[in-house]
Amino acid sequence: MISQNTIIIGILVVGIMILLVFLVRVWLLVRRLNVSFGKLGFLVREDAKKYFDDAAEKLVDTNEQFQERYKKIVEEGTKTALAEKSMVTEKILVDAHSKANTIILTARTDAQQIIQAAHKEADEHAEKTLQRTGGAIAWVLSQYLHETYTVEQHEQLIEKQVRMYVDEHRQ
Amino acid sequence: MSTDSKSVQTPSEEQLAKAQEIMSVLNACTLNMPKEQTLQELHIIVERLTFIKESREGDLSESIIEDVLGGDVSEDVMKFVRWMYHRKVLGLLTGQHGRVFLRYSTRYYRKIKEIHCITAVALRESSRIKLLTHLRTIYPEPARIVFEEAPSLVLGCVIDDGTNRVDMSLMNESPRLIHKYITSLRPTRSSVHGS
Repeated sequence: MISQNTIIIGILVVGIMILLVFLVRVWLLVRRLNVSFGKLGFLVREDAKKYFDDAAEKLVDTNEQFQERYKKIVEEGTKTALAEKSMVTEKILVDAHSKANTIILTARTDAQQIIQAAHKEADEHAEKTLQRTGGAIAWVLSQYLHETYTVEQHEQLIEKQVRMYVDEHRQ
Repeated sequence: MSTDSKSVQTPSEEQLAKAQEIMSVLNACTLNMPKEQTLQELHIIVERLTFIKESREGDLSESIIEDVLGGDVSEDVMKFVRWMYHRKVLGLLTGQHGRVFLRYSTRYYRKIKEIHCITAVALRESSRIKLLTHLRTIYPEPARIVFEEAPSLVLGCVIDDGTNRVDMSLMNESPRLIHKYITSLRPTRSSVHGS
């Protein structure tokens, strides 16, 4: 005989089994849904990309077209203006040329003046430096001579100079 | 006094010869002295001897002269005074005669040329004599040749005859030589600039 306890346990086991199966199914469904969402996202992204690329291409095209049109308008306008106002344009060009020349000349003069000033300053500086050097040389020389020249050497030089002086002034 | 003045104004030949002799001795004694100094010392001699002569009776002795003039008058001029004393013509340096002698000397020395030889160091006597011998060939007597010392010249000498000054010292020559050196440097520097 099957006892009552055994029946209860069997019912519980079956119930648990049914629950497990149900849970496994739910898990499988969720996973499948996830994959589906992933695929959907990819598709959406790809679509968006395609859309924006198309839009960018259109924008570039529009710009290029606009630029070409703008260029044409300017060229045609300029041609017309030049044809109609040739005298005025010529004057403007001459004035511009003259102004450009003046600016170039001024710049050149400025540059020359700057160069001259720099040269002058350099020359003055060099002159001063050399003079100072000259003074230093003279001082060192005088100190050296005071210390090293004997009276005999002084006298010999003086005698030589006096002889030269006498020869020059002899009538 | 009036007789003295007359005799000074119109000197006899004998007086002129004596004056010439006195001047030549004075020149010989003071040949290496500056004219200015000679005249200043003669002025002192005339003033002091006149004062002594007037303040005491009798002739001046050699010792009195030495006492009165010693220290203020150079040895060269003292030689002249001693010669005058021994020649017994010292009276010409006192009173009215002395003043006339001073005027004459001033006029005389104004005409005499004075040459200054300035050297960087004090020369020895032997060297001075050598230089005098050279200079006398173009500046004969009675021109005066005076030696002076100026250490600032550093080297060499300056000869100044009153109208012309020739500076052969290093102090004078060095700026010219340095300038010459600087000038010689210029082209090299500009060529460096140019490149």
